[in-house]
Amino acid sequence: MDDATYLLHRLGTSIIVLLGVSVVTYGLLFLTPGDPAEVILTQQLDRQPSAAEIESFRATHGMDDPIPVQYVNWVTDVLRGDLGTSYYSDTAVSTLIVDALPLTIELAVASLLVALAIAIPTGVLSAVHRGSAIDYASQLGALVGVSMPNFWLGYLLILVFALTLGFLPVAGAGSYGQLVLPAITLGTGMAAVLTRLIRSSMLEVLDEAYVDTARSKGLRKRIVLYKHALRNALVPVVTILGVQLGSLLNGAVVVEIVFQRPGLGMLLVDAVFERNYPVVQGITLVTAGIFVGTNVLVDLSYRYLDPRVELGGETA
Amino acid sequence: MQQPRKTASESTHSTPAFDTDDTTHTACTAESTTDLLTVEGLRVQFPSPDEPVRAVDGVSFGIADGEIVGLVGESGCGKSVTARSIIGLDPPEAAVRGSIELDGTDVTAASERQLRRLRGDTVSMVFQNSMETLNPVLDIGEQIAESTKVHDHPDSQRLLDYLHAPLFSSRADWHERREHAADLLDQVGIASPEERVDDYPHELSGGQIQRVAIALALASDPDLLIADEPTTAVDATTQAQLLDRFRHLNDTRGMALLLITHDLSVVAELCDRVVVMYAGQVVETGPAGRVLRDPSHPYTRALLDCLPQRVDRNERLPTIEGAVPDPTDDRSGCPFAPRCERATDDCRHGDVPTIDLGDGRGTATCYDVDDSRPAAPYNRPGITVTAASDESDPTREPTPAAETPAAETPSSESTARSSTREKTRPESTADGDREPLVELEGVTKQYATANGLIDRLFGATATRRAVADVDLEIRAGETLGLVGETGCGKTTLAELVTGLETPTAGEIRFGGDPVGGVESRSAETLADVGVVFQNPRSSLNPRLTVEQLVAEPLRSRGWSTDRRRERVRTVLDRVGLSEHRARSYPHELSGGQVQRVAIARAITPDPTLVVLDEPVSALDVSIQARILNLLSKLQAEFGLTYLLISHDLAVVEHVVDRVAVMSRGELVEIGPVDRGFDQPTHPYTKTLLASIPSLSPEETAGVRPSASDGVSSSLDRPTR
Amino acid sequence: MSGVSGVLGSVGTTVRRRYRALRTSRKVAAFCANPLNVVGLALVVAIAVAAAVGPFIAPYDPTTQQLTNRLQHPSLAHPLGTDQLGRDVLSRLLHGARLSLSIAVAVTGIRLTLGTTIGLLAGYAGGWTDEFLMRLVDVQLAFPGLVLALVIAGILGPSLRNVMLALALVGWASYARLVRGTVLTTKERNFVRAARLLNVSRFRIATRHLLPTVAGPVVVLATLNMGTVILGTAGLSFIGLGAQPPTAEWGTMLSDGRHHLRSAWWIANVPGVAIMLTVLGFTLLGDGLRDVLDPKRDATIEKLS
Repeated sequence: MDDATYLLHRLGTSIIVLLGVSVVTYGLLFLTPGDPAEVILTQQLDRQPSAAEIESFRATHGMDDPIPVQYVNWVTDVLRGDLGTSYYSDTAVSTLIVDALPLTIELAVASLLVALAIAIPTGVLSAVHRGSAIDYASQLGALVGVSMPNFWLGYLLILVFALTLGFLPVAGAGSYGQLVLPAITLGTGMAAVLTRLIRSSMLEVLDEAYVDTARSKGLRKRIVLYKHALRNALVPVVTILGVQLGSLLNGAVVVEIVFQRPGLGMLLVDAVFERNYPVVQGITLVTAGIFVGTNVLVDLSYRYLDPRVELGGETA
Repeated sequence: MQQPRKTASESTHSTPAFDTDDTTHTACTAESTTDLLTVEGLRVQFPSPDEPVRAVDGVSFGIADGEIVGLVGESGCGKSVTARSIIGLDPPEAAVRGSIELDGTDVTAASERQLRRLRGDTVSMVFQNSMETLNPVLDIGEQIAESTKVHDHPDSQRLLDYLHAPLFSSRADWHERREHAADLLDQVGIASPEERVDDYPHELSGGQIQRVAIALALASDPDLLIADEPTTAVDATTQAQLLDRFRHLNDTRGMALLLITHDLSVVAELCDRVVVMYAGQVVETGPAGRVLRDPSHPYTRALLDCLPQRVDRNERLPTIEGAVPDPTDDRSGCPFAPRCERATDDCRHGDVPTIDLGDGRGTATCYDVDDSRPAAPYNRPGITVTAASDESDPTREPTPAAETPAAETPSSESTARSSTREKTRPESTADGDREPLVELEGVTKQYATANGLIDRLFGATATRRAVADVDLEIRAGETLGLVGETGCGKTTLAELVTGLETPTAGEIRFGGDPVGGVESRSAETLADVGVVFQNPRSSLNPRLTVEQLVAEPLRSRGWSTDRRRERVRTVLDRVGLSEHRARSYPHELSGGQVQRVAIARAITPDPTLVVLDEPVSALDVSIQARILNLLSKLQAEFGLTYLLISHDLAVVEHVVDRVAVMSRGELVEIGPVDRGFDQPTHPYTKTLLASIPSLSPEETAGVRPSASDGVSSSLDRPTR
Repeated sequence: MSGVSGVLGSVGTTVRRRYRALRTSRKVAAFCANPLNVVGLALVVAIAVAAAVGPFIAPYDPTTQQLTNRLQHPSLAHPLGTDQLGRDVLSRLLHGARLSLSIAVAVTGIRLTLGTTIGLLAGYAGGWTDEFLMRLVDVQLAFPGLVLALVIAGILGPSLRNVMLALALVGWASYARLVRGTVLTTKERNFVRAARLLNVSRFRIATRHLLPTVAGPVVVLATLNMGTVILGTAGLSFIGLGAQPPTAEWGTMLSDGRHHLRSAWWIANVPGVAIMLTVLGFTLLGDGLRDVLDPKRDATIEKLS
């Protein structure tokens, strides 16, 4: 399959998936125990709503239509870029998301950089010095990193760096200083996963015959490691970067709450507790869209990292 | 040459460099002229939970400038470990002792920097399994360019330069080196090298990869090239070309070659001298001609006797009984003594001396070297000891299968089909008295290949014909050999016969009745065909015991447990596996035993036809002989018909009655094996036959196809 | 009678054979060779024991408040101190062990059953069934798991039961994908092809050849998943969707203790360490099982877990 065909094919399946995603997202509304309109109103008014109030709420939000019609209307609006309006303020959901998104993306990118900066050298060193003290230390570190709840780590970091040492802000967003602790919190967890993966992938690669060939040419160890071995070892790492983005988004929710960053995660949690459905649906849809899109990009980049890859091959 | 070479007297140690208590087999070699490489008392041990594994156990030999030396032995004898030690690539956990003098430097004591210089300048290695020896993410040109760069500047390797970081690397320099890489590819016989330079390893065929691996090794203009099984994975024609290439390089560059192989015919082709290894030790050395003609060590003799090409067709092959000693055992005496019928008490204990045979005939590490023994050919089946071991074969009885009708019929029935689409039935009904068991008529198998948009625009066909319009008969009781290069469609043809694949066109008939794929075949038809897969281990579920595996086909017949057990016992007995093996799992068995289990399972349902896909290609020569004997015995006993697929023409010649030659999905020649091999009619068959190395070099000299031969190089295409 | 004894006999033989295989197994030896694997097993066993007997040996009731006893330092009476409401932290920890472990087992169990069934069906049936089920998997995997779980749990209403349901609903797809992939590759392996040629029934091929091959990777994934589920539950509890006060749940305990980090470090850190050790145990055990059961699958499982 050539690149263009593959891209078309991949876009096609992505559209099918996103359609499924929209069905699930819209369907979430109906998970509400009881009558959604009533539950939402109870939450909003903090008292039992009257029948008239429920009636008018239904009418305003098109809830009188049959469910498929509601869904189609919603999807049509979404395609026009209209994700609805928040129940609590009259702000458009899209505006809320556009305001919050940069903070989350900033956090995700910073965390990814932290993760890679820790994981690549640690994973490589660990594999090269297999069975040494360095290896055990980095393995242990990675395991602890994988096993720590990130909100706990966040609070510990606040305790040490912000409260005790006092050279970083406790919380908030806007300055680079305020990005440091959240990025470390989120990044170390991911670094732990990546370190383990790079180590095992590197170990496998170091056993390959082409590494021997490279050494038998008389190449320096560093060149053998970083030119011949690492590039091959990174292939499986890149395949999981897409999936890891999902865990970054997962983690961002918690980390944003810990550090009081008004990003997408915080917006989502608030909306969930307020039963602010348009916001919940909007964020769910956007997150899934970002996730699917990134995975397409990762698939495409994979091709350039590993020339053997036939795009469109079954990778499962 | 950056280092002046030392003279022989300086570089060769007259005494071993370590404690003499350990030197049970220090050879007082006759190779005092050696100056390029001297290996003295090399021992390599690997740690294991119990005793250390003695992979190499006191090996000494040498290589002179421009000499071609063959290092031979069966798998696990330590030859590859020795080779890796020579370039200092021992695994970190290995304990290496002894000395390896390479061009005046002791490799075992060399610094990382010295090693880099040696590798970049003096010695190069072509590793086994070349498919995996090239880096899959770098193109060919880059990998060769690197080698030349290391050769020119071994001490100034900067990572950023090699990573092509802008500002840190000279594009012009790398570009020039890529052009030089194309020259090297041209030298190893790769067509249109300028284009191949930009290819990635996965885009090349097995033969091309092997050539690239050699080009890579030559890039540093080495004085010594070590090639580990360089021709094992390639086709006969490619093998011939590669051997030719080696000889040429040796002639023109004066490059010495250490050729590691298990294939004695390759040694006969190419080598000046041979070093024979067994169980980590050198048992015999000497000029190749002498060793092959007149072997001195009983092991060398036994090994040569096992070769199918040395024994008349359908004769039982001599075998070596017993097994290689456990490499963890603390051994004393000759390692071959337990399997040697001439062994005495002296052989079993203490040090066995390495005896110089005199007159430049080499050495043998054996008491039993009798100078007065006449240099008669070793045709006697002397060394077979029928020990009651697991692997023993009951002696083969004279069988009717030895005289099949096919072998008697006149040659008129055999037809060669040239590629000019001239359609002739390969089989006439000349011997109408024998009903064909299986008939293939116009059988074609096409696979759809996923083509890109562009290809489709230009109307390129999107199918690949694995098997094209094949007509073939398999007659009851015969052994039909199917030969051809890798990717010629022989395995697909076999899968069509077994039903794993269904033909896109044409018809397959069993006893006159058309059959389809596995799903549509009746239980009887399925039971009628037994299959022994290539790589038998993969065809046995590792979670089932031998008994469960062999009994599996009987379950669906509704046989009772007792009846199944009885049948399994009988069958295991017939294939020479003792009853207690019934409860073993496949991983507990040796390669030969696994092959026996696979054969047992194939014959359990009492089939008439057994399809054997490369039944001995993964086995060592001595085990191969036992399995071939077993197959002949079973054929006689049960009146089986065999369809045998093999790339090893020596095996084919030994066991089959008729041979069918395939090339690019087409059947190009079919006929009785004698005629097919003696008077081939199709040019492809001629090329194929000419490329078989013979044990006696004189016989085949001159008929070898050259690397530029049109027929063969056209075969050298990507296998994908 | 003879039939029964025959069956019993063959069962006996099978058991004996299995025992012999276990005792002589290289797998057991290989597992024990790495001390980290043994540590993992020990941690998991310790947690399991704590979950089983913890509530019986806990010195105090986990929910009884004793405001006079607030924020007590660890002492003999309260080995791990007391929390902001004067409850004994050790007792809460022991009760929490049972809760965390049962949630993890239940969620993983549902994911595994659902996912394996769908994967087997897709891989074995192929065609349109496969196509449909895999698109379903794709849709599920298109959501970042915890985000979707958070939304589902939030809409269903905050409670532990809803958190479990949400986590189970978002995690089955990895199993389906893994199982389908393994079935597809195993189907093409020579020993299955050989079985087809030997007229072995489809049922027997599925049960004797495919399932055991699939089991290894699934067990590994499930073990690693136990840790993920525990972390997920803790995370959702932290957000406030999981266990509601006064339930002794590790995530909630940690979340409550965060305001007292400086004055009473034990309230948050004790459950934090407990979560960490539990997840560590399952991760180590999973790694060990993977090395033993499935050495060639590193990357795949890492990707899915």
